[in-house]
Amino acid sequence: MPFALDVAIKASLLLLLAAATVAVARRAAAAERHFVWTLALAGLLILPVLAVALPWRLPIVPARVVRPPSQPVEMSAEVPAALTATRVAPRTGVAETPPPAATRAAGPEPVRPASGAHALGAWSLERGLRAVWIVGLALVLARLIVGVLAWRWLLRGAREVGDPEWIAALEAASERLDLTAPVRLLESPHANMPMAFGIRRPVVILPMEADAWPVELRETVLLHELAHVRRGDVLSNLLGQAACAVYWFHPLVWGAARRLRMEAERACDDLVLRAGAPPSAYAGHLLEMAQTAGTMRALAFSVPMAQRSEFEGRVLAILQPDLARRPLNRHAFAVGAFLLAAVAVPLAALGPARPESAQAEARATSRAEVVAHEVARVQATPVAHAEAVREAGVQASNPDPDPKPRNDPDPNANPQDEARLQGGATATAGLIAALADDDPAVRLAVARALGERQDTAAINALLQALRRDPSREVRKMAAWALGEIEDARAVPGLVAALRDERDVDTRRQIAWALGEIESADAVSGLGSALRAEDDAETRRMIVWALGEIESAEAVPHLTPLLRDADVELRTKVVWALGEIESPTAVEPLAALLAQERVVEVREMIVWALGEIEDARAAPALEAALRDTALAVRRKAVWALGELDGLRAAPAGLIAALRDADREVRRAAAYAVGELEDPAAVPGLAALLRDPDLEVRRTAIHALGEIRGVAASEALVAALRDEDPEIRRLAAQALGNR
Amino acid sequence: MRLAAGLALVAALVPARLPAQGVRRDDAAAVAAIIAAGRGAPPVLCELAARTVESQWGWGGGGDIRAPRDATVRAALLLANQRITDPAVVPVLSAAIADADACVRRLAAPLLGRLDHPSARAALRVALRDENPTTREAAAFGLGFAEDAAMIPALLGGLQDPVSRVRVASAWALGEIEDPRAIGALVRLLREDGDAEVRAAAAWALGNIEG
Repeated sequence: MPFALDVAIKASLLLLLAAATVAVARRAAAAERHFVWTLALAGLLILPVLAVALPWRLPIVPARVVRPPSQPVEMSAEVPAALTATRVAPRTGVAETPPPAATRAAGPEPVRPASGAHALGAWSLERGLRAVWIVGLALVLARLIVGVLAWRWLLRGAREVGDPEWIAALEAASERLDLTAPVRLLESPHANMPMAFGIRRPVVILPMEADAWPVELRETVLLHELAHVRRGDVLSNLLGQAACAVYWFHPLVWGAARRLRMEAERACDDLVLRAGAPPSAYAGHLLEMAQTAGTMRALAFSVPMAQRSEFEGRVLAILQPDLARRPLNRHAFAVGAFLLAAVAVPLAALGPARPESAQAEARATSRAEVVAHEVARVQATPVAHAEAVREAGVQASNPDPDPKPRNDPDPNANPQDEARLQGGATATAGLIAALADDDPAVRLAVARALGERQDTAAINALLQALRRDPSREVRKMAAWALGEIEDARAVPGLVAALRDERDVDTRRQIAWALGEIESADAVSGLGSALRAEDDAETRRMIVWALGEIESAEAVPHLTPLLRDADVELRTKVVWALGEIESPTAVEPLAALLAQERVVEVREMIVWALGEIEDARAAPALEAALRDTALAVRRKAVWALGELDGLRAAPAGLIAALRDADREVRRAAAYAVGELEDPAAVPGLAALLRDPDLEVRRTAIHALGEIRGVAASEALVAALRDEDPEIRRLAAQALGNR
Repeated sequence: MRLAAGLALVAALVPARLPAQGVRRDDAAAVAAIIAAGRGAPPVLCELAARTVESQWGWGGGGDIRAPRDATVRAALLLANQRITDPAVVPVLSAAIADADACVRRLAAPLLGRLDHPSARAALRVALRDENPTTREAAAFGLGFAEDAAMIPALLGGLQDPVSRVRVASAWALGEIEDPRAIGALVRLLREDGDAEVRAAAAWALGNIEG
């Protein structure tokens, strides 16, 4: 997970926790709520620091176990992946019936080594995001700095208040609040309302009009501002601003900073009231302040006495007699600080374990295991491979100098493109000649190289190797290479080799190659091979290849296997028949559906019948609507909607509108809409009361599809529905008629 | 004011640490660490470490360097998180690919090959003519990581080396460079070389070169 997203999510969690705390502690005093927000915002600032600095992680997501890349030679791993690429989803906008679970079950995908380019892309994106973030941070910090400069400018124009009456009032207020630190009192022509500022040397600044204020107003103003000083609100506001700067992209943080400021004001009000100011008089003074406040925007982190926006709530809080107004006690402070640490530290450490460390944890890294693991992932270059083999002690190294080959390199003779064209032909020709090499390891490398190059000029040579090479590894590699080249000209040779090949792995590889080539010429050859084959896995591969080829000629070869004892083979045969989409398969599939015991096979049959889209499947599918397995029922509803040339909705489909499963109901509603059968109108109208929104939507959609008065009447009735969503959709459906 | 400045500083420092791979560390120290860790390392661990160095392309993603308990692998992971760019380490790496220890050579060669600087290329070219065959092999191996077409003539020379392992490494490097100008020489090697491993490497390289 990107760091920023990670931190943003954790920040949200922290803030939601704070909000929940405040919401639960309804009776808490403003000072306590303020403290909760302060802690939360402090936590936000600590979070990224901790996330980077903490030496350990708490893995919450089950770590992805890094699989070692398979050997490039392990070609059959690619085959089942093709099985997953079935076109199953109904071609619709509304109902999306999931493909049969059996076809979705992911086969092992070919594992590709991670590419550097991908890492580069992710890295640039991260850089870009970081640049955007820094710009935002700079903007918010700039606002803060402007605030400080404005404050400086305000101070410069200010002068010390020398009026003894004011000084006496200041001292009296300090005493009432138990404030020991000396506070400077200034007045400035630029200030339009009283403000407190400064952390170590606090200052209260007054507007020039303050001299005209009556004594009570002076008292409350000073009490309020000194309460801010006493509580250290300048610091907490600054904290809020800092959090906003770092998390400027995060709306919750701005909200939290706002709450923090509000609670600070209310906590000060509480302090003032506790110091003995009469609530009604204090509220009146606040009102006066707010009226004069108007024009000047509050400096970013000074503490103005009143701001209009938050005013009402404050006055109400001041006038409310039974509100808790206690200040924060030390005990609460200590508990809160501890709680923050208890929440923020594990939160910061939380995260998906990195694959490597997870791997390390998962397989207690004893040295032997690392070695075994690494030996298993021999994938790299021939050099590295050879060295790995040598160093693993499998093969003794041979340091003897060898006879030096004679060649005469002339690399700069041709321009690049021409060189590429000529070079390509030269390379293929050179490799073809080397298929006659004495050493089987060389021939293996050559066959693999020819497959990589996918040059059709190599077909005949590879077929020769497939038929004649004494090494079965080389033959298998040749079959793989022919599958990679994917050219139909190889089919007759491959079919003949499939018949004659004695090595079962090679036969399987040949079947795979024929499935890759997807030529109908291979069907009869695959069919006879299927009858002759003993190996279960190879039979499955042949069936897979027939499914890939998608030729109706394959149906007679496949249908006898529907009664095969091998469940996996049966499933694959059904899948292949669904891929082929030939109506001739309907009858045998329907017959099997009634007798099949394995749920997955039944589900696959229903899927295949839906793919074939032949109306003759309707009775069997209707029966499947009463299947004991939910997955089969769901699929059957979908399949019935897929059938072509069905005049009316089968009774079972209309009955399925009342199924206990919402997926079945939804799929049924969709299907009867597709069939446009007016007989379904009452059932669909009843679904407008369905508890599930998706079912209701689909029902409306289906009613919109069905012509006739009854459907129109149902839609008109839906216009008076209590649910505005239903009314809206009904109007839309009527508008589309 | 000072506090605000402090907060701003913290805020600026945090993102600087965000992607670990973006952090520049001391190249010389990292190279010294990997060479020290590689010396005498058990062959298979060296292999693991070398694969780590080779596969990461210096873009990070080398993983959690605390996880592997073995020093060699740890050092390799450390290095994989970092892209060596400082040409000052070229002399150290040149000495390392001439080292008697196979693991040191193995770890240093990709680093020297991937260091995109003329001095690194020159060092590899010189090493390809070294009197010691293991140095020549490491140099050819390193050139495969350079993927620099200008190195083709030097590697074509490597294909004629009297020692088969140097020819294997040269053929492999030419396959990595994927330049069709090497095809003629590789086809000749495939046809005429007396060593099967060399012929297999030539075949592999021909399969790797597009065209």
